[in-house]
Amino acid sequence: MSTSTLQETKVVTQRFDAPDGARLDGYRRTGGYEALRKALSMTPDEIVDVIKTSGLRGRGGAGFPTGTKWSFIPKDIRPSYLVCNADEGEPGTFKDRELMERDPHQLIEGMAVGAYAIGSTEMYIFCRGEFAYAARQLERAAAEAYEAGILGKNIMGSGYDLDLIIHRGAGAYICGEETALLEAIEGRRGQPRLRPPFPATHGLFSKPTVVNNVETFACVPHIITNGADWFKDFGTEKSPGTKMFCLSGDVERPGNYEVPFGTPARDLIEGFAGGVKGGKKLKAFTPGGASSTQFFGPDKLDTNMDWESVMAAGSLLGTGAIIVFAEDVCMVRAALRYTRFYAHESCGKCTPCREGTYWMVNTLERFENGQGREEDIAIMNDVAGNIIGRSFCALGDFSIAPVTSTTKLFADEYRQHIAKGGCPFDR
Amino acid sequence: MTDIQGRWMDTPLMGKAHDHAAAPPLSERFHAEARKLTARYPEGQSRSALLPMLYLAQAEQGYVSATAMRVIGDLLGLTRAQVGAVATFYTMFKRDPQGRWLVSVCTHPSCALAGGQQLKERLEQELGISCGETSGDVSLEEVECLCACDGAPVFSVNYENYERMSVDDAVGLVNRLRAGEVPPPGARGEVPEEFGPVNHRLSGAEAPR
Repeated sequence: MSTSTLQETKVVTQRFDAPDGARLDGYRRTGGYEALRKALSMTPDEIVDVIKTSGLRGRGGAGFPTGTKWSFIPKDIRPSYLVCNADEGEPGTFKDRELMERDPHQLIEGMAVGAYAIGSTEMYIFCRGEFAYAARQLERAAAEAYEAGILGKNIMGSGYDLDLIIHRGAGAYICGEETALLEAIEGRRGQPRLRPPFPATHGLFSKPTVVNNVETFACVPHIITNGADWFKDFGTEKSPGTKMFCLSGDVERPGNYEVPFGTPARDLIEGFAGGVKGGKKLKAFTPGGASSTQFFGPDKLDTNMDWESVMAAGSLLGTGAIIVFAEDVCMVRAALRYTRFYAHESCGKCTPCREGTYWMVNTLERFENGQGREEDIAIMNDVAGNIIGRSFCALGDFSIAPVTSTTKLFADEYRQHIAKGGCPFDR
Repeated sequence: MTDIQGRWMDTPLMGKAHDHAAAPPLSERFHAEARKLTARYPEGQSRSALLPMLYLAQAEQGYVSATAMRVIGDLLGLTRAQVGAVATFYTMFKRDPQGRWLVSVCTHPSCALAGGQQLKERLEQELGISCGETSGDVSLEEVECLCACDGAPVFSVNYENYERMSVDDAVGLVNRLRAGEVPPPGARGEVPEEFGPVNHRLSGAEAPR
């Protein structure tokens, strides 16, 4: 692999370098809102068909086909709602924040197309509370869009009315789970709902609702403008399009890199991100944030980064957050920090997750404090086995990954903690 | 949360012992904006304004006081338990009065590998407080991933990010806040608003709709 030939494929990030791409003038000058104009001249069914044909899949982690999701909205129940999940919180992920900060109109345009396609006249952006700057950028963009007649009554002279409400989160990772997010908008604790019924029929205010991620909506205008076939030319057959990968941790050039699905992890880590910081060796990386089911070691560097390949290699693509750990990092400490995160963010609704995450933290702390015992490895895995599949939502299922993954791949590090009576690492 | 006479009690859930009655009364402006926020949501869905109203109250009082929870409950037709359950669920609603500047430090692995943990410990030392406490104008907290990991180590002042700063520079910045100065622009080039205005904006009262 030669680093000189590496180039990003910029679709949703193409305006990031335009000096005023985040403002309406700059957005329009670069073709902005032409997709919405085109969409408003199409029938809603035609739009859903294009999105279906494009193979666009949700970028929030699950990869569900977007067009299919839109087609689930019943036509005879109104109002229906379109909701953007902008509650980015997956550790290691920072793509939605950047999309809102640097191209907020692109999100509004993608949402407007989606709203028209499902017959919704009211859109919500549930924006993470801590994203102060991203939210200001969104509010500025929304104000411009209202001013220009792109939002409000009779948008772009089409006869269609469309409103946008930006509703702020208040500090709860669980609200990234779509039914917890809907609970939060309804003024309740962000705790997941029992499903079925699904949001497609009983979503926000018990009405038909589509919830999509920021990056998913950001793809929509480009598909409408350029067509489904153009989109399918990027990526793999089952994972079409491009993806923003978030590179962080021990790399020389952390950042977001947009590349076609199927790009090898090695190109991202060693190429775009410049390799492991300080010329150290790679110990591990997450292919999809803290909620990847398995850390990858150097042997997985040639895994193609698409949903199918990452799953075949034993983990999950998730949000595409690649966190890199150098050879001198303590994986027990990393597992402890991630597990503390899940314990803190567990909403408390179901016992396995609420209690299990607490006990995993407790046991991991024993290793760091020099009180770890050989049998604790089995105890933690036993706790983990009682969380997975017995939790109300995916937070519980994913909360075990740091423990199950590190005790499998780095069991020797746990034993070093036992032998030394404490942490043998500096970082 | 209330004793047998229905008085608010200071419990660990309600924050540390302090006089909730001493919180400034919610203003006319609060009530006007609360009405406006409720009208944003569909008819019969006024409860959607609960999180926004908690932010509005926090903007005026520097935290969500027991009094504010009661007022908001009355406005929305919710019980104190319903309001309290929500106010205590979300980390951004504070149950103790906050300083002008809330400093939030991320200690997740991406940040920890770049010095986030040392930064947290140094700030606790310098300020002489633990995370979750306030010293003068500065409140300090440890937070979960702020999703700006390319800028590690990340800390924020009233939710405005400061990125890739050395531990010494970050401590210097916080010391200037203690001395009454206004923070420099953050990583996105904008200066953080004070705790009150930031919460006012979080309520959505300044959004176009």
